[in-house]
Amino acid sequence: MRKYLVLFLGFFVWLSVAQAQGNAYVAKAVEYSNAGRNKEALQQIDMALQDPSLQRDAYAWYVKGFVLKELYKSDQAQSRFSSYRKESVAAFKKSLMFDTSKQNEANIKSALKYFAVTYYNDALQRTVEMTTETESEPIELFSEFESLFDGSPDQLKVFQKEFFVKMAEGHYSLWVKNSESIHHFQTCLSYYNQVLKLDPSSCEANLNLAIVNYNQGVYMIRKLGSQSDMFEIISIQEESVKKFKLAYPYADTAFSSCNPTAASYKTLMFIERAMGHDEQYLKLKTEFEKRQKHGEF
Amino acid sequence: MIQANFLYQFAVNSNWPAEVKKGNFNIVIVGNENVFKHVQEKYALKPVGAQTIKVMSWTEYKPGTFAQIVFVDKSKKTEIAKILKDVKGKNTLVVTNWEGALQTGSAVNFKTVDNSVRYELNENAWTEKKIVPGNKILQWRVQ
Repeated sequence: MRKYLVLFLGFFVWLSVAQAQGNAYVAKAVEYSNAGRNKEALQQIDMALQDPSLQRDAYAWYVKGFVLKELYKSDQAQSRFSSYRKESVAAFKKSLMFDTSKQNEANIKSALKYFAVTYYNDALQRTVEMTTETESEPIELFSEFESLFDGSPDQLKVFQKEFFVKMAEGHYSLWVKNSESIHHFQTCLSYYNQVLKLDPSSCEANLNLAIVNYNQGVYMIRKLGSQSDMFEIISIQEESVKKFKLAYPYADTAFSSCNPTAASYKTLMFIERAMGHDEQYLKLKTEFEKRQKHGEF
Repeated sequence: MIQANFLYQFAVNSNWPAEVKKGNFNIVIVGNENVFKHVQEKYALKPVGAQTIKVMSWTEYKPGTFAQIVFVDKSKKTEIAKILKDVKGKNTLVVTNWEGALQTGSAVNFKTVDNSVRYELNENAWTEKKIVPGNKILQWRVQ
């Protein structure tokens, strides 16, 4: 289940004309922006910022950040690599840096929080859409989220875990489309292992590591056919057994440490069967069918 | 899946008596739908010499139908005596997958060795059936 964050839109919507006193371009930019004419507002604030005396002006940068944010919302909210968003974040950060009075700090932090959420959601969405050529894009988007995140390290871990799971799923899908390429398979494993580093008891990561390793073993055997000779059958089987052995502890943890699900039953069952543990396989199968009959799954 | 692959290897790497080298090359699977599905999917209609493989899945053994290979799953081990009696004198290779099956008279028995599927042979049964195992079959058997 993808956990997109709900966008927090209810923060400041109006620029203060009073703060713009002293520079005509800034005042005009505020006026245009408050009238919803943000492209013209952007031209005005860019002209204002050409004035060397304004280059360290917190309010001018704040106005620029605000105008770009509005442009992002109206024109580029669907664009993963929006230039408005990037420039808005940069402008807000400059404003924070120069804002000794802290007058707009709360508003800027709200705006940055808003952008953090958009980056996070885009990163997750990109994991679903990614291809071999674009596999770094979700990482870049997630890095932007991390750089804007202002919660505790423990809170960040929750987001990292979710993101790593989605990256693992994305790479798994790409591996299934082209099982000859080991890159996506290995990257998938690497992301699930990163999840386990953050949360060793993660049911999802344990179960999926079991499934991914098991499936790789099965794919190897499926390649066998009438062109294969006896030696190939023996050697490929040995390689696949190594994968089943790798899968087993993860399946066992997912089964014994988490609430058993149909998926965790089936995964452990099939791994037992693949390893020739017929008694354990039949025991689990009987138990699974009984529980299934009672509507537990 | 591995058992299905081995069944095909037994078919193509054995020397069969001339009288069964005509018509289809029949493989009967008794009591194991998974093995049937894999043989069917991978090997149905593949050639064994000049013959074409035909695969049949039986939940119960049907006496009287000739097959070059009959695979009997352990879930049907109680039927082995009846099956062996039916194929007596025929050039049928009986393949099983449970401990002690060779002693009952099957020619090949699958066993698990280090989590892998391997097979053991009953050479007397092969001789009796006038089927000659090829070198590849002999080379990879386990004792």
